[in-house]
Amino acid sequence: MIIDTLPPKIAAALAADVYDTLDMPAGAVFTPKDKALSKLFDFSSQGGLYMAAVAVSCFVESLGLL
Amino acid sequence: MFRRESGFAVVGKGKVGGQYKDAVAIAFRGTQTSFDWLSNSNTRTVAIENQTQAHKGFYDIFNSMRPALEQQLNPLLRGNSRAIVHCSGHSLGAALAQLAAIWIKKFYGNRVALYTFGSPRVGLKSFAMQAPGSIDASYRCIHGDDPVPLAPVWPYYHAPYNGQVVRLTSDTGIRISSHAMREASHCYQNSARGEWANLIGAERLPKQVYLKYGEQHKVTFSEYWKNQIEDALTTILRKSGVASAAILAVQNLGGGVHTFYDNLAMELEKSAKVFPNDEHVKGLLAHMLVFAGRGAHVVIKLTARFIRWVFEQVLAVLSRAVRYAVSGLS
Repeated sequence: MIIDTLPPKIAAALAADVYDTLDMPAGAVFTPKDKALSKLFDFSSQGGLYMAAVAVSCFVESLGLL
Repeated sequence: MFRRESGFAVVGKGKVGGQYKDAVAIAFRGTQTSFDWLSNSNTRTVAIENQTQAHKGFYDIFNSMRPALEQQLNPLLRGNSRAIVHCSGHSLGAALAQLAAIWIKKFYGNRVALYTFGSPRVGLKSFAMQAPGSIDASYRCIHGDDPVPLAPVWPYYHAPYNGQVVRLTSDTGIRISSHAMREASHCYQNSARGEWANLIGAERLPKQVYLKYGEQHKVTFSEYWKNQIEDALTTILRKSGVASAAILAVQNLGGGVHTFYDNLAMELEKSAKVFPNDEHVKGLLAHMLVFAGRGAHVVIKLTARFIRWVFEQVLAVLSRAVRYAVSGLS
């Protein structure tokens, strides 16, 4: 099935800008650095129905492997 | 013992009235603290929902994120079958993005596009062949000299098996800085340009390879020679009838790669007792030693103990390169 994919530049910006989440608490508003990405997707909780930015901090059991 | 902050994700909704108004974008990232999941001693596998074998470390991290993801995605995707979900990630984040894309497709049924940059291998052959089959579009982007896509070593495979790869640079060799996502001259954010149709190339397919003893001086520490060595190893195993047993053994890599290579060394020792396998094994080991920087003139012994030591040298040098590449991420 052919679907409307993101262009390489936007897909890369998405993967790159998530690096800014390291110090963000869960639920904080995420604002991408990339302007083109910001224009296409809403990562802000402002504007209603759709939740916006989510920084998920994970807790992972190490199972004694580390 | 619990480890914090091994993975992060952000979720966005396409802007109303925009080109991607029916889309959801999710980006994943791993952290420096999770790079140990790539070390060879941590490469155990686990059966995931579709009964294929995936890297246990990656899967555990993804599972820990899943409840939060579900909480965020439910209002966006429940009853919204038109929404296309775009999953993107770099390095360990790319591994998480793959597992997330498979889960989203299965759990929500929406169309899913996957974009990975410098991804490690996430599962065994069963995973590579089956798991991503339902994903609607998949772009595995690499730099030719990024070491992270080389790990974990065989029997891990990239998904989709025999699939296409987007080679954003044609550089060869191994360059640690080529793994960077941003803020470096050779980073993925700089190289990801143009249109997918012009970037996609054919992935190399596994082939029959015999490495001759005496020609090991040609070897360099590069993706090309790493692939040659893997192909030569599987060729010997296949020709000596070990392949089926070895592949069966790794359907559950419960003991990790180290245990697997212990068994493999014993199988190669047996195989090398038969002509002409002895010459093939000798050639393979000589090439592996040069690849690992051990020099071209080490005396080759066809014992399980020596073969296991050679495996260790190769695994160690690859592990070091990956560790340096991942530890440089911000």
